[in-house]
Amino acid sequence: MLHFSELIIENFGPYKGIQEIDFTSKNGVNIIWGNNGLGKTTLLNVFRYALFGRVQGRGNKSHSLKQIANWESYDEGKYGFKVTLKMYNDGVRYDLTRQFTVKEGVSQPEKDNDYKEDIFLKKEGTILSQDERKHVLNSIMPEQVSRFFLFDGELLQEYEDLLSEESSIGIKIKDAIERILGVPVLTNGLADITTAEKEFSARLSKVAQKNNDTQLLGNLLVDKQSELKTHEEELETLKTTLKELNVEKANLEEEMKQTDRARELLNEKRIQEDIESRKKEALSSKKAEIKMLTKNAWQGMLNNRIKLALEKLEEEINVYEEKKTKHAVSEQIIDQIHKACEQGECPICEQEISESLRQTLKSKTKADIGFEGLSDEEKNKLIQLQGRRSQLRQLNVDELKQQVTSIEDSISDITVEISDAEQRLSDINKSLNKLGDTSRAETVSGDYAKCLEKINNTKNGIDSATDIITKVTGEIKNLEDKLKKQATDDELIKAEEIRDLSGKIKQIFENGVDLYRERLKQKVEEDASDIFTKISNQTEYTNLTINEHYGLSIVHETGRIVEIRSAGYEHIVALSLIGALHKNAPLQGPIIMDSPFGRLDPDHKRKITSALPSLAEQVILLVYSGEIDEQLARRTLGGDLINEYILTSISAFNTQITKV
Amino acid sequence: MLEDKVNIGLTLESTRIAEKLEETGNFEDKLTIAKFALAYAIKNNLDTNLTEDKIGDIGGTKWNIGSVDTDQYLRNVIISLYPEVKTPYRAIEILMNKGLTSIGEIIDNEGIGKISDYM
Repeated sequence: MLHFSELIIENFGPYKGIQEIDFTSKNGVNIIWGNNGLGKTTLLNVFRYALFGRVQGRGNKSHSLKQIANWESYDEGKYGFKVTLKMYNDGVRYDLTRQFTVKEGVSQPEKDNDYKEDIFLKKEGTILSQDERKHVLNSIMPEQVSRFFLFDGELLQEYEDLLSEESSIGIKIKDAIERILGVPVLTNGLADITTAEKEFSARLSKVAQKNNDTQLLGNLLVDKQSELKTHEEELETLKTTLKELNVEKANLEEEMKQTDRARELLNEKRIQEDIESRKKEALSSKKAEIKMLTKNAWQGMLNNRIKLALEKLEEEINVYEEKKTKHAVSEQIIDQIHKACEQGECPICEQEISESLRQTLKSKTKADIGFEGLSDEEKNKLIQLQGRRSQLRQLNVDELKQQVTSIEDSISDITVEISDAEQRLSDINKSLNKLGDTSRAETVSGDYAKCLEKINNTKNGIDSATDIITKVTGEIKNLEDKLKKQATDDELIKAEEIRDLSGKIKQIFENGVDLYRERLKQKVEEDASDIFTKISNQTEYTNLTINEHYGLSIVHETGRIVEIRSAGYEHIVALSLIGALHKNAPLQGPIIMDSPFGRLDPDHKRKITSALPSLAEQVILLVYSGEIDEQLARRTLGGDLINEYILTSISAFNTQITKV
Repeated sequence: MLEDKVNIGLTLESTRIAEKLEETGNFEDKLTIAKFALAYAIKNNLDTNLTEDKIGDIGGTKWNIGSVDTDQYLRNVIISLYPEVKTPYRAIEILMNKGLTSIGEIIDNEGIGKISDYM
């Protein structure tokens, strides 16, 4: 059982100078109160740094260590930082010191390379070697399971990912859970006995080869075993590749999350560039169109004047033509009268015309009748006017004003659209510049797709290799059965017995691993449900149910699974899982929780507070005073509350830890 | 009697105005603009005293009448609308420059605006 007794911090984050927290040797709950920005999450990083040499920023990003040093101390010429964590593990005392100091010859450090890191682990006062140190730290607190000891309330999404089979972070956490529950001890044992079984199998076939009666079978066995070994090695390689690909996938998913905004902007940029390009093309086309129109548009502009000129001409022409017509008509009448006079008869009524009447008519027709024809000058004028009229009619063309107006309006609209697109592009580029280098954003999706494809191919390869291994294993079994029937040699019989025994031991381990896993899951489910029902206010939620990946779902009293859960219940389920894991793990240690209450209501907060002592023997809680009620916390925890400290701001870069 | 012109052109001021219009990208070339200005002048009754008007030195862009009026359309317009004019190309030159001067005043006071507004 791991227990932290004391933490000494020097110039780490906002903690200027040397500051100590004494957790004592007692089991119970330690509360460190601190408002936002004073260094609560940094305290989580203090533990993380001490144990693993790493600090974590927002969104799980690792931080550069140089940035961690206290700024005020840096300005005063005190560079670097140091953390000492004193702890007990199963009664043995360990003092772990990790420090980040300036390298010799560096007067003012600017980057990580200007520093060196030293790590010391003392066991009962004696400094351990590097190998011993690594071994001890890995056995008392392996980094792969740190998320179950250093609980950051802001990273709850990871626990929700356990529900998803495909999630790579889910696979990572599942491995970590099995590690904390001690499953690797059995799986490693199974691997060892499997190796032993293979060795005994190989020995059996060698013995069979030595005997004349069984030599052929022995040879076949050797070949098959060699074939099996090749396929198994191939399968192992594929499994290793799959693990690496899943890690790569998780990293790419993280990168994609971090580059989400950049990709969104780049996508928007592509869209706007496309719009801009199409609009410019359209503008160019419209400009060409308008140029075509304006080439002849001026002709249409003359229409009004031509129309007016034509009207005037028509008037003038009418005058002459009317005169001409009148003259023609009168000439015709005179002609008829002359004929009547000659014939002595009216051509219309056929009445006789008397001599005297004839004379009268003749004299009248000789007189000036007032309808003279056109003079030569007038005839010429008429011809001229008709000529001009004909020419003007030919000059008349359609007005193009409406078409030009329409195109100009289109040009105006398109110009505005281009300007809008340019403005949006300018804004997008400004936002992209703020994000810095976005080249990765463009390539990460492609890399992710390739990674998924590789994972798929590898999985197919694993399936295929597994099928072949099953087939070859079956063939080996058949050969061994045949060998058993034929064995007469004492050495061969003994080799067979050893081989059989190793096979049975392996079977026991295999069954054991599956059984152990199932029992563990059952226990975790029971313990998590127990904690959950203590914490949850919703009486209709009766228990939790666990899946293949240790993901927990809430079960309603009707038996239905609550598919969608609130952020608050996400908290509660995650805490239930952590508590259950701590209860069932061979690896036992303290839980350090940063802001575990999140969006929980006061009632749930009270219930979680009272459940804290049952989650682990030592709990260190990092909260702000509004997160839980101080008096209520003290009353609820009672004697389980061992210690209280408060973080006080001296300045923006100086926080003091004071015991309450 | 004054002989008709074989080469016609624009004054420096008219050329400046024609260049401004050319910059809009709405016209193919200055000749199109000059014809546009001629039509504008006729449409807006700037065509009084065609036989007597003086427009100043033709120090700007010039063209041969063969390239200005390949199909003699312009000439036919002038002789049809103005039968009293005996030197149609001289009249064409006057109308082009008068049109550009008038358009130029609008541009200087109000900006170029839409081409269709002049039509």
